[in-house]
Amino acid sequence: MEIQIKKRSKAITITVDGDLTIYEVPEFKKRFIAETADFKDIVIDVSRVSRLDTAGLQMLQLARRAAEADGKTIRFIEPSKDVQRLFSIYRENLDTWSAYGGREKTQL
Amino acid sequence: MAGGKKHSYEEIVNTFFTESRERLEDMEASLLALEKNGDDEESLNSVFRAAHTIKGSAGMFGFDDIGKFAHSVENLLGDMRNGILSFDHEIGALLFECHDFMLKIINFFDANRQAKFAKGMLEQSLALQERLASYQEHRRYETTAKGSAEEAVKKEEDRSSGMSVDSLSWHISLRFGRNTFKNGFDPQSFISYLGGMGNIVDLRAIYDALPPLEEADPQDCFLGFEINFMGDVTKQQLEDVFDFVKDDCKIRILPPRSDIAEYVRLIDELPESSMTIGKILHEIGSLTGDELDEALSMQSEGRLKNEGRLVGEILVEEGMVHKPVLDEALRKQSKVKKTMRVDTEKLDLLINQVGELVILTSNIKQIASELQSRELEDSVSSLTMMVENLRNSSMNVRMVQAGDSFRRLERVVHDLSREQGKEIDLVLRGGETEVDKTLVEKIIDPLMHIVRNAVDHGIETPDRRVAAGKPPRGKVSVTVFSEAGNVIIEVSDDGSGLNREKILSKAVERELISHEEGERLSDNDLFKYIFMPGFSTAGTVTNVSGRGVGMDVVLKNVNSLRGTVSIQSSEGQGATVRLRLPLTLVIIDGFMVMSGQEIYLLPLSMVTECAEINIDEAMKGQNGNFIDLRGELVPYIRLRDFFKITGETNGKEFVVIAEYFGKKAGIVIDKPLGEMQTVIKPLGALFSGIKWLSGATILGGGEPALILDIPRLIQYARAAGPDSMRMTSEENQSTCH
Repeated sequence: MEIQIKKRSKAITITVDGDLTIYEVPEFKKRFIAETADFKDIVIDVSRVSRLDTAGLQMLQLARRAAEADGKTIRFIEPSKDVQRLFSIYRENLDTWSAYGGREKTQL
Repeated sequence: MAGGKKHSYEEIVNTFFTESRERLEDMEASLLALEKNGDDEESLNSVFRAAHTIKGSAGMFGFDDIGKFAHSVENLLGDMRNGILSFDHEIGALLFECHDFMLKIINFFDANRQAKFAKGMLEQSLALQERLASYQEHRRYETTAKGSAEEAVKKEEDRSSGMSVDSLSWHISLRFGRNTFKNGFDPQSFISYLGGMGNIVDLRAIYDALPPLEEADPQDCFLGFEINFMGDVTKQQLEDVFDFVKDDCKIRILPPRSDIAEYVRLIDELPESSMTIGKILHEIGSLTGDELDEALSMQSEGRLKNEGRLVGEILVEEGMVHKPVLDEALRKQSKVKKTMRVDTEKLDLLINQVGELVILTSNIKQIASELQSRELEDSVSSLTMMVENLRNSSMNVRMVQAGDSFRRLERVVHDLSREQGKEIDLVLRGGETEVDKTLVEKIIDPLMHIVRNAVDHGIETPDRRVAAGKPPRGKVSVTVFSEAGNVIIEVSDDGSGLNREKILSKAVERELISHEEGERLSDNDLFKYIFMPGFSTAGTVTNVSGRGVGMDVVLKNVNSLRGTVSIQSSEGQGATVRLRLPLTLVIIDGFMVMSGQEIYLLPLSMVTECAEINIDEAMKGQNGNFIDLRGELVPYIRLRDFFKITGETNGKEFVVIAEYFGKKAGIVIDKPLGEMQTVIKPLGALFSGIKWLSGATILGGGEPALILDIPRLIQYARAAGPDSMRMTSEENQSTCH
């Protein structure tokens, strides 16, 4: 897994390139906490995730909840094939995962 | 007493297999009882207990394949006990199949302790389980829909809230353990697998256990799932899906139409808030809105707790499933046993040693009489009596009641009569007769074949019976009794009897006899030809008799047990096959004879007479080895010539007439020594090539004596004669095929 970061003034886009599985989640967590600390608006680009397992999915959810708890906005965009596959197994809809800091909370 | 030796694992496992087979015997007997009376609760309970016990002990010993299968059977039986399903012939047939399969796999695992299922077994297991499950589901819906199971539902209601949910799907609630990911499991694979078993109507992942990101180890699993699942499965099958993770995953499975109270308990138990879970249950369709409201209000009013059921009492599903098993196992262990199991090898050793003791005692007796010491003779006489008693008691240890094993015949009759559209009652008489265990085991197959024949060829179809003026239900009776050191087993039927003409023409066709000779034969002598190899009256061959086991094999087996077979039949009235067997295989009542310096033993049951003879005179000018026995030509063999015995003769000779299966032969010997009961010792491998001996024994003086194989000698003697007298021997069997 490689993580590419794009930063604008208040927004940060994190692109996950490669696998996001049990092996990568510790690294992801570290980077996510470190990189997003100063940003109010977080975009996670999952278009290049080659493999997502349940630990990866849980990682995304952990990130989502952390952002939400901090009143930040977080969005997950352009799910790759494998992300779509796992989300459909779990009957999840990636769109509803987005959290909009303070203004609108998604239903679960 | 050699004490203190702990039971090895091996012994305990042996016990498991033995007991499982016993449980299966019970199960079969109870199934047969249920066939007669479907409402027989005691029998149903007994069938249930059998499946339950096997499931439990199989689990304890790690035979999971057996356990899982037994569990499926138990599930169905559980529904029957609860009145959700009722016994009918269809279900009976399925349960019989399951019984047979369990017996098969138990025997298989007994023979291959470490093995997995053999080829085809897994498929068979799954197919049967599927049938059990579909049956269960199918019937459940059917009866519920029809409302005919109202009573059953009521029963359920008595111990619950009185409201079952509308949903016809399973609800599965999963909370995965922390180490799931680290242990290499991914919940998605379980969900996918589940999807392959049926239809996942809906599911929700539960994230409530997720800790804040900073505190979370993302390699831990904090997930849970609520699943609405529709499919023809059993609870066991669902549990099996999660078998790998059952140790660190909390699994709760609610069957379709569960009581609403079960859902309340589920909501209570789950760590998430009632509202959250309740809402999810509603969303995924496990509960309707009304049901949810009812559940939540029941919960808030604490109605369930008033029932005296504590939430903590509801264990994880696994706990609920396995606790009774454990209890049963403990109960079994603590139960005082009236019987104990002993390795048959130990018994054989004991009997052997007692046999030696008998021999030694008669040795001492002989010495005592030679010494002419009155006191010694008295003591030896008491000792002899004690030893005789000891021998009888140790023989008795091997004796079992014939009835236990013969119950298997009921099944044969049941299956076969159904298959052939016949109505047959099997009557077992004298089941309490005690017979040597080895003998019972060896006679059961021939006996089954005879009974099968009686059902197949003997008993007519109901309409034919009615036409013949008989009651539509046929009767096959098996009677066991002991008579003068023998056990007699009679199989009688009230069917059509043996057809003299058919047998005669077949025998002539096979060139076993000429037509004229056949005409002269008495019925009983003629009927004996059905025991010839390859002899079957073609018109009556069915798939049953075509199993490759003919009456000739029956005869052979009975002979190997030193027994005899005879048949009586009157046409249109039925037939009786009579087996005469020694009570035990270890002791032989022998007739002792001497030729030269050698002592031989003939089984007393085959000896008809003994007389001094002058061979030259007896032959009366006949060619070949025949003597004239009151006008009957009887072939003979002279042991001296036959075994090339040398040594002095006193000029006298005796002939012992041995009869076996209606065929006689004379055995010419130097002198008879009298009757003697003795313990048979098998001949070692060194002598295995010798045809004419069936065993050996040791006489009082310590000298060995050989036991003659009379049937073979008779065959030999007769085969040596003219063709018309020839009996089939195994050597010329080929001409009969």
